[in-house]
Amino acid sequence: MPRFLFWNVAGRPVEDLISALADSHEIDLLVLAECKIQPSALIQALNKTKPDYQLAVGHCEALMFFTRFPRRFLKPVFESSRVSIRRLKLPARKEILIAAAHLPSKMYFSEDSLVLECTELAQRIEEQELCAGHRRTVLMGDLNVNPFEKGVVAAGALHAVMSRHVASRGTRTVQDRECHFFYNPMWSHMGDRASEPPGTYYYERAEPVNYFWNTFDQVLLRPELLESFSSDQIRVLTAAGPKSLVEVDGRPDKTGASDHLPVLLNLDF
Amino acid sequence: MPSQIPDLWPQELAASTIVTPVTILREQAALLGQKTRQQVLAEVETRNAGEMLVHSFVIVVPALDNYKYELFKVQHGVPSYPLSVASPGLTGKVTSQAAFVDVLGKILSSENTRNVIQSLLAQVGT
Repeated sequence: MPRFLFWNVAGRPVEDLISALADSHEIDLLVLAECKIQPSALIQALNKTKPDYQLAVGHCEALMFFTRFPRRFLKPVFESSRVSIRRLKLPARKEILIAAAHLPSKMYFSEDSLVLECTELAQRIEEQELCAGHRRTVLMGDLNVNPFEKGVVAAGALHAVMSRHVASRGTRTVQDRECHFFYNPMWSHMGDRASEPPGTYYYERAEPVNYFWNTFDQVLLRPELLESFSSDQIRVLTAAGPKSLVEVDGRPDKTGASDHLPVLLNLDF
Repeated sequence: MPSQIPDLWPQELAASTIVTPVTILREQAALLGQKTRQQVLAEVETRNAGEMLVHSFVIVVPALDNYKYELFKVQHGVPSYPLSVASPGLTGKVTSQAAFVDVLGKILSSENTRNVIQSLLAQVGT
């Protein structure tokens, strides 16, 4: 089953951790945000033991893609400075669309502006689904909004719901417009769980409304991909091989690793 | 019986010299194809975002299955100015047509723009 990993590495020199993650989870497609490591250095780290990984070049400056399969199987179809949408056609598997994004930070963008960003992202995905002739789409990335915020939930924006039963309806009509659902499995990965952290990003400041743990790093799936999917096929990771990515209090280790935790997806298609 | 109320409309109403931002963008988009032997083109895609209009300046490569790269975005309401420009290296508000043309020149001649177009041309050539 192909394995995908998204990680916002926060500009940290963590090539060894990336390599350990790729190695220990046998990642097939690795998508990195805020990666300032030179691709050549990262390729060297990833291929330390076996020459498996290739840089899948694109023009999106916010994201880097590495593949364990020939990069010609992953073809960019739309890109901007923060979004990359690619068609993935692996041998003996149906083609899927991989949309990856690193949307602007809440520090610089208002909630309304982030709703607009999510809406534009949703429209770009729809355009490419129309071109591809299918809706087998995975969206992964640091959306800088939580699963319960308007940009992710609203019809017209990403329209991602917490229930696969609801998502499996495919669409709903809002104001005479047919809106396609995403399923957002990250709802099952928020808050206290036995084996996982409460979110992917921790932020604390002295203001009345504070979630402390946020799940900005998300994987959304179209209902067309849900047939053989269960929510344990997504994991928020806290270790890269033997190295921990969190501190003793469970928060992301921002000095030794990144202030975001990686998200792993195993997906059969 | 003729009305007692005079014509209240201003005389210069029809003689506007305003060029809308989208017209300026479309003119620049049309020029790219000529410079690249139609291998790399540009389009302006406009969409509504609430009360605002968002124009995306998109590079299109027909030979790469119509691969698209959004170079920058312009957002404005009515009236057109001030408008917001968002591009990788240059983001901010612009208050007049002259300032918009100036910013547009900076974006189109920037290193990022050159790199993207040259890289796409190289891919088409291979």
